[in-house]
Amino acid sequence: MMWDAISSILSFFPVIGLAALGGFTSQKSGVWNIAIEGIMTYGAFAGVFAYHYFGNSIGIALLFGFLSSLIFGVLLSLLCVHQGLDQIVVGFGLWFLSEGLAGFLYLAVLPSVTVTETLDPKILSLDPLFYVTIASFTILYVILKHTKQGLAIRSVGENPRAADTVGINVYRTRWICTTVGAGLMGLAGSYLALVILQGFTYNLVAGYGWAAFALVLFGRWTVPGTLLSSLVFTLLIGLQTRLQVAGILVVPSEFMVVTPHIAVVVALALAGALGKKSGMPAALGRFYQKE
Amino acid sequence: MITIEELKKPIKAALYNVGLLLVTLSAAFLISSLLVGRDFGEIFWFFFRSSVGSVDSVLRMLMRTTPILVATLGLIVAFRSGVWNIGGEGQIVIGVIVTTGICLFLPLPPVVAVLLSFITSFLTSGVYAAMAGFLKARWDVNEIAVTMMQTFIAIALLQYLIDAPWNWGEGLYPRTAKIPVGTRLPFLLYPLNSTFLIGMALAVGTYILLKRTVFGYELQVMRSNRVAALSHGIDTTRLTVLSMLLSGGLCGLAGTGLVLGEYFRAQAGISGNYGFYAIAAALMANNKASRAPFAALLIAFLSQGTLGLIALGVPQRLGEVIIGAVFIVILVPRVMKKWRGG
Repeated sequence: MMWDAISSILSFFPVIGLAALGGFTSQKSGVWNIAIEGIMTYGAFAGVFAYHYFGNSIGIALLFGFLSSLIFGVLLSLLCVHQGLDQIVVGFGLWFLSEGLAGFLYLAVLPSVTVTETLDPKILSLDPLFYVTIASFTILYVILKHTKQGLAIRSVGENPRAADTVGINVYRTRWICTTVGAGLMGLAGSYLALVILQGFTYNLVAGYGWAAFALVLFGRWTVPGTLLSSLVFTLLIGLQTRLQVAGILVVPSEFMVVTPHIAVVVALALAGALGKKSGMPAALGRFYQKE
Repeated sequence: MITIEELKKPIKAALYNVGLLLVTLSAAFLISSLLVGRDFGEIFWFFFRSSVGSVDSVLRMLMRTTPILVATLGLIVAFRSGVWNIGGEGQIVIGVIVTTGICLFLPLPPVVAVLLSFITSFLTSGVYAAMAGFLKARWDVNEIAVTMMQTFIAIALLQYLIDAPWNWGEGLYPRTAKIPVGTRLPFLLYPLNSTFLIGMALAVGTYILLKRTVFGYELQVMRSNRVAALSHGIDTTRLTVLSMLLSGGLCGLAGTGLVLGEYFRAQAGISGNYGFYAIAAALMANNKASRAPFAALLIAFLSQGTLGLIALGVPQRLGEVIIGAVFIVILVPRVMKKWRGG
C-alpha cells in the first residue's frame, strides 16, 4: 500500500530526470541548451505520432521520440559549437521552432490518439524507463569519473584550450554531448505523453522543461546533485498532488502546477545566497575558436 | 549628400532579408499545403489578405504590434546590459493584474485611475523583474531560470484571480468584469487604440535613453565587459537591478495597454504570448530600440497572417514555426557576428 503510493509518485521521475540529464550532459560539455521545454514538447508529439503510425508500440514510440529529437541537438551544435553563434539566442530560436512544430504538426497530421498500451514489464510496479533513467545517471557518472571520454567532456566544459592541446577534439566532444542531450529531452517528452498522459495535448509539458533547466543549476553541475534535485522535485510534485487530493493541503487549483516552480525559485535563490561555489563549468556558453 | 553607392548597402541588405523571408514563408506554406491538402496559392492569398489585405486588417496588425513593441523595448533594455530577462510574458501579466485591479476596485476619478495604472504597473512589474536582477547581480543566480519560473507564477496568479475572486457575474468565462468606460483609452481608428501612440513614444524614449544618456552607455559597457565596468567605477549590481526594473516596468506597461486599450478587462490568455514573441523581436532588432518597431511589426505581420490561415484548416501554431524558422534562418547569423566573444 505504502509502496504503491511511492511508486506512483516515482513513475513521474523519468520525465524530470531525463530532461535534467539531457540539460546536464549538454551543459557539462560547455553548451547551454535552453530549448528543453520545446524539445520535450516536440518529443511528446513525435512519440504519440510514432505510436499511432508505427504499430502501437510504446517501445518503438519512445525510441522514435529519442532519435528524432537528436535533430535539435545537431542544429544547436552546427550553429553554436561550430559557427560560434550565441547559444542562448539560438536556444530561443530552437525553443520556438520545436514547440511550434509540435503544435502545428499535431493539428495537421495527428488524429486524436489515446495510448492504450502500457510500458511493461513492471518491476516493483515501476516501468522499465524508470530503471533506464536511474541507469543513465549511473552510467554518466561512471563515464565522467572514470573514463577517458568523461575526462574529455569535463575538460572541454572547463578549459577547451587545454583540452585541445592534449589532443581532445573539442568540437566532436561538444557535438556528441549536445546531440545526446537533446535526444534525452525528447525522450522525456515522449514518456510524458505516452506513459503518463496517454496522449498529446498542446501545453502538456507545463513548465517542467524549464524546471529541469533550473534543476541542473541547482544540482551544481554534478551527477549526484542533478539526480537528487530531480528526485526531490518529483517527490514534491507527487506529494503535493496527493496531499491536495486528501484535502490536507489546500492550494487553489491554479497554483497546483506552479508550487514546485515556486520551490525551485526559492531554492535557487537560497542556494545563491548561501554562497557556495556554483560549480558551473568555466567554459559554459563560450565558443571555442581554434587557433 | 548621400550617394548612390552609400545607399546600395542597406538596400542590398533589405532585399536579401525580404528574399529570405519570402523563401521561408514559401517553404512553410508549401509544407502546410501538402499537409492540409489546400492549394499553395490559396494559402499565400489568405495569409496576405489577413495581414495586409484591408484597412481593417492593417489596423489590427498595428494593434497587435503595440504590446509586442513595448515588451520588445523592455527586453532590449535588459539584453543590452547582458541580462537575459525572458520573463516578459509574466511581467505583462503583472501589469494586466495591477491595471485591472486599480480600474475595477479603486473608487478614483477615471483620469487618476488611468495614470495610477500606468505608474503602479510599471513599478510592480519592474520590481518583479528587478528581484531576478538582484539575485543575478548579487549571487550569480541564473536569471533565465528565475524569470521563467516567475512567468509561470504570474500566469497562475492571473488565472486564479479571474477564476474566482475577481470573477463577478461572468460565470464560467475566466475573466473579470469590464473596467469603467471612463478609464478606457480612446481609439484612433477602430480597432487601433491610442495605446499605439504611447508605444511609439516609448520607442523614442527608450532610444534616447539607450543612445544619449550615461545610463545607456553604462549598460553597453557592462554587457561587453563586467570587469572593465567595475574598474570604471560602474556599480554593476545597481545597474543590473536598474536595467531589470526598467525592463520589467516596460513589459508591465504593455500589460496596462492591453487592458486599457484593447480588452478592457483581464481574461485568460490576454498576454497572448507577446512576451515570448518579444524575445524574438528584440533579438531580430539586434537589441536596437530604433529597429524594435520594425521587428515588432514583422512578428505581428507573421502572427496576423497565420491567423487568417485557420479558415483553411492550417493550424495557428504555424506562426510560431515561421517565427522560429525566420529567426534561425535569417537573423541569428547576422546578429551574432558582432556578438562573438562577447
